Amino acid sequence: MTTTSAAATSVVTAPAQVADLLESAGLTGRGGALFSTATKLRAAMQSKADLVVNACDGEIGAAKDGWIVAHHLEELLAGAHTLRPHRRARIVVAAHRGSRTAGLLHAAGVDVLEVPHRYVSSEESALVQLLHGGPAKPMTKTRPFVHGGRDSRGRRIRPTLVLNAETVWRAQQILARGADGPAWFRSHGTAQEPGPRLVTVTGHVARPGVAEAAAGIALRDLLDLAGGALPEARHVLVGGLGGVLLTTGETHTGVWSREGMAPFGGRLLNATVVPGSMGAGVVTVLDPARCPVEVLGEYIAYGAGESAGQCGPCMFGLPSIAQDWALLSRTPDPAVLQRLRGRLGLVRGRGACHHPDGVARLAASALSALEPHLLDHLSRAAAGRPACPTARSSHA
Amino acid sequence: MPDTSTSTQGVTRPPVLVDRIRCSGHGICAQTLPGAVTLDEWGYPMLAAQPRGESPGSRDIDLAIDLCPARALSRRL
Repeated sequence: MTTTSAAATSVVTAPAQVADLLESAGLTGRGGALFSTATKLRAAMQSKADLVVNACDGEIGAAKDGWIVAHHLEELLAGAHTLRPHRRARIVVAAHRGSRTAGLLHAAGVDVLEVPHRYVSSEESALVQLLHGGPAKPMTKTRPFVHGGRDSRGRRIRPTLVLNAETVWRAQQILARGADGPAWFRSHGTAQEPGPRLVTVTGHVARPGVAEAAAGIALRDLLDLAGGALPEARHVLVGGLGGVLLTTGETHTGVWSREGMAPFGGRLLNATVVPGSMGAGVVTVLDPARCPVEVLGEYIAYGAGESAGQCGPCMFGLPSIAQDWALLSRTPDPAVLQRLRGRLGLVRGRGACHHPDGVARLAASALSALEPHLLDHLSRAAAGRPACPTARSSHA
Repeated sequence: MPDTSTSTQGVTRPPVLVDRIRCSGHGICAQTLPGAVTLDEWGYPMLAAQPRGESPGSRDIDLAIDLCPARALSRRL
């Protein structure tokens, strides 16, 4: 970064106090992991880590990191300097190569880590590997890379702290208020998940875009921030490719929080799939004119194609899952459904990163939310009629 | 993350960790640690949270780690 010490020395708070303030505020990672920022920062200070600010908006549909860079770049950079784990730490901001966000960062003279356009390339350890001159692929974590470590080829990895852009921006908002910061932060959200939180609402809504919300908001109110789901909408995806699918009926009663989303994760699988979560703050209303089974099939196929191809259960499991899903949407067969359910339980926790867990969770939640639609496919197929009743479906 | 499988309380944790990136599915661990390791439909190891029968002994674990051609196994820290 064009880092000049002017920005760095303008920080009045001592690093230890910074972590304490963030801890009493209860700030957790806004990239989806929801881990305590204070804990990560303390570890980073101890191990003299470099800092990567992740502004990739890696989740499908997400645009909040780019929104922060476009509208609050000064605060973001001030935050990065305040959170700098040690005096000589390198600070880089990660953004997708050629993106508008990368352009804005370059124009501001920021040290940019250009990230290839792959789904898993903005995963925490993938960014760390890329920063070290390796491929932007996830690494096996025997301990968090904030302490440093080795990649699977045995090369040394320096201690590196990776924070989501919104996490850094929120930290700056807290610290700018000094001792009043934690109380301000906790006046938003819930006791478990405090603070304001950006959400990208996209798809079949009146005014797609980035809005400010907080945990605990009713999903319906969240959609209203974007002008509401259009009247015919029937399904809502919360959390993108690693998220969960809900019916619009469920959004009327559902609450946007870790607890509120958890039950939608692996409903059919006896909790063998990770619980749902708010993820990276993205909510997508599906187009009701298309067959939802087909739309989800596209998400799952995309997820399979985005495997980094490193871990067996992911590189073979996800394509098998995508294939089962495609079979199911064309010629619904209970045996395929059963095999698919088994495979969804099989990939969980068996990758170096959580990509397979996320895709399996999405597919599991979708099986549940789309059950009536799938049954309709089945009975139509049995009667020798076209599988899908949805108007513009390509297989109708 | 390493494969920590289910680390629910009261359940024996698998005795080894698999580096999923190194692992290329040779399957030798399933032979040296039967009961504790089985292979999925693609030939990759699944670590049983609760091994069938007796838990593998320390010598079996060392043998499995030594015999892994991909050097993907390690002891749980």
